[in-house]
Amino acid sequence: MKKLYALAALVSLFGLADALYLTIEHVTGQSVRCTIVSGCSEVLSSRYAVFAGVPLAMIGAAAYFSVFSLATLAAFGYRIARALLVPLVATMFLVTIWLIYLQAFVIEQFCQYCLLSAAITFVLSVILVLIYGLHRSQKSV
Amino acid sequence: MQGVPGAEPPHVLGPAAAPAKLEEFGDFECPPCGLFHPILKQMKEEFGDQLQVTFREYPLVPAHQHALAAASAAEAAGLQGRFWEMHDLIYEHQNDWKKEFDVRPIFEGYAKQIGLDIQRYQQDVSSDAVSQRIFMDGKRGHSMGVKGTPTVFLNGREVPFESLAPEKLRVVLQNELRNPEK
Repeated sequence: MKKLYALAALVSLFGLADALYLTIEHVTGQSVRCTIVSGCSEVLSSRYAVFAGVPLAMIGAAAYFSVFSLATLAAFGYRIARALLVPLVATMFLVTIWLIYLQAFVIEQFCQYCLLSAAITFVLSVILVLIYGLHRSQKSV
Repeated sequence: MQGVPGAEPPHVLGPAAAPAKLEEFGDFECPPCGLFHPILKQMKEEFGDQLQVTFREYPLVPAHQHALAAASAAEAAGLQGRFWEMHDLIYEHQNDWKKEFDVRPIFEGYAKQIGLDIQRYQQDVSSDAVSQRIFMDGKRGHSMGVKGTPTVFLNGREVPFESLAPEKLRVVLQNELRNPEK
């Protein structure tokens, strides 16, 4: 189980790097410029890219940093960190589903960096499901 | 930055002697370019003969499926001396055509609206002359390090993207006119 928490911490670092990149692009205005690998410009210049005045990428970076911190603490046996990790990743999973829906059906463009973030959140969710499964099987033994 | 020459003659608004020469590399389907269009028009009105504006085609293919068709329509209009009228119509109606499957009839409608000879327009839009102009502008952009649109150069120096908001661009232009850097 410890290894799975460590893996979650490692995976969240990739998410953090992706979200930080998008945040910097957003803040400097580069993200809204169209490029040959477009899609990002449409997605990141849409009104959905900002929540309550804060770039969504920045919120994502904060979320990944929290996952990293909690997963690291969980790997060292902190029970409260384990308890907090589940609702956090579950929320990220639901937000990710919503963002994919927006890209597919509302904006009708996909941003590869947003999709990478979605993939990372899915991997984190799978890891937590595995941890939950292991936890249950250990309890029942 | 010098760069290789683009299409000749370029599409230019304003006198050659203007102290501020702004060159935009744009893609008609790019939303930020669409947003930048009224800003540039406003700057042109405010700075008048002090500012010369050049538009260069930089359609981002394949990211934007209709960008090339839009560039071709504008260039075909240019061959009849109506580039800027078509340029304005295409940008101002960007949201009307960008999600359509076939944009050709829409651009033909614009061509009629600005009084082009439609038969000539239909021939020109897929002509080598038009393709060559777009290619040459793209080549120039590439040589100047253009990676995305809109990319704007003022007297040969790139204007940072974050300075393209009207209030910032106005200051950039004022500074350029006050202290033209060599």
